[in-house]
Amino acid sequence: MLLDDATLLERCRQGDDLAWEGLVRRFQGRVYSVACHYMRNAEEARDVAQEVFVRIYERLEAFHGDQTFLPWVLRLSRNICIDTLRRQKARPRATEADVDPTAQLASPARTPEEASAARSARDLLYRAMDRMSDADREILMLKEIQGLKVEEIALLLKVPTGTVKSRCNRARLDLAERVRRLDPSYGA
Amino acid sequence: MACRTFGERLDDLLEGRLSPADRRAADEHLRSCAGCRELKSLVAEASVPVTPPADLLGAVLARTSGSACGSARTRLCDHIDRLLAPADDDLVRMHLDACGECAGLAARLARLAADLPPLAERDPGPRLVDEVLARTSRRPALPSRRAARFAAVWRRLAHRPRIAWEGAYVGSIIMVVLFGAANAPFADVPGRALVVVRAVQESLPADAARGEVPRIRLAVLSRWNAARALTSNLERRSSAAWDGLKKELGTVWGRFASGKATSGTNRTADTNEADRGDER
Ligand SMILES: [Zn+2]
Ligand SMILES: [Zn+2]
Repeated sequence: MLLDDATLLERCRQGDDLAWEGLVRRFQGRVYSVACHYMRNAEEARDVAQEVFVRIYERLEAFHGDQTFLPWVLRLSRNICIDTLRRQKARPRATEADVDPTAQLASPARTPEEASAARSARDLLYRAMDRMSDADREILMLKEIQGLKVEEIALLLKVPTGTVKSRCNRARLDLAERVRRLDPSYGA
Repeated sequence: MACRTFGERLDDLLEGRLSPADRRAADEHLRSCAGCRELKSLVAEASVPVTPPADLLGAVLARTSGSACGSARTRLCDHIDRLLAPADDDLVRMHLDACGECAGLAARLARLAADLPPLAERDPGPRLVDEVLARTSRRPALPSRRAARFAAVWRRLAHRPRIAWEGAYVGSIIMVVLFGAANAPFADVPGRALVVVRAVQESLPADAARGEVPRIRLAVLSRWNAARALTSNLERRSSAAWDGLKKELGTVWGRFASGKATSGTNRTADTNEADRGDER
């Protein structure tokens, strides 16, 4: 990585457009992944991701350097997704789960074989998670996928850290079982 | 040799650790004692390892603590994440060595721990960056925090239904203070402005009109200074009239402030939460 987040942010705050573009490029995959998770629809996820970045831009000044940027971004993304979902609750969703699970960014596969293996693993996991409860999907997304700390998730979901841990472990066991039903050879 | 002494030396006899004299004495006792012969053959048989029946452990657990798989699974994730204390970790390992089902589950969990983090990013396609930049970078330079806050407050105020009425009210008071009252600082400014307009309308030579400009500027400047002096005089003296006016203005401002407070609570809980999150 060429530039650490703190420097990139400082440049953005100084109004450097190039730094801002760099920041959007660096975090777009994360933000879009969270948006896909909640919206379950590619087009809506893109709209929400756009909204998230506009809000980040407006609040660059409000972000303090002493906190970590990524958890802040993820928390903001989650809140905007939930707000959006709440607002559109009245009108029915047009299409369900049309996110292309094969689309990927962070898969540094070297050969076509590796790439297709990674794609099928992703596909398998997305399918296995699709039918899980929203609460289980969310905690897996926050902890196992985005890698937030237990304390950060506890703050975000307003539950004790012990609950986060036990809920997440239960969700992992559940996911392992769902994956086994889809592909008995997974992990063997 | 007595039976008791033989019993004590039986292990040594079987493992060949007895002295030749003790060994002779033991053999002599064996020949004469049927009970000790039986004991020797029993112990010798038992030391040959025998595989226990496959279902013995399960049967014992079923009649005692129940299956240990549940207990193993509550610790399996921490085992994968290497968060267990050494003793707990050894216990889980021992169970996994023996339990194929839990071992399979552990293998899947380990694979998940490797496969899930790469899902943290998804490619939103090439357009997103451009769309975001179009909505952000083209704005004037990043507004300062205070300016942004002022703009937000103003936006909220402007959305209130009575803003027009309140604006007109405050505006009128200011106009009266500046121009309307008998000794107001700008009381005769509109008259001077009229003079200029009339002068232009009467098509005076252009340079004559231009000559008027510095004089007007001077007049406004002196009026402005007079107004400043008047205000400070008034404040110093705290005349009753000025206090009344301040009270009027205070009431209006109070309404503004309460409006600001109520419009603040109109936002959704989650957006507020995001705000609070930002403040942390
Ligand atoms: Zn004997
Ligand atoms: Zn087991």
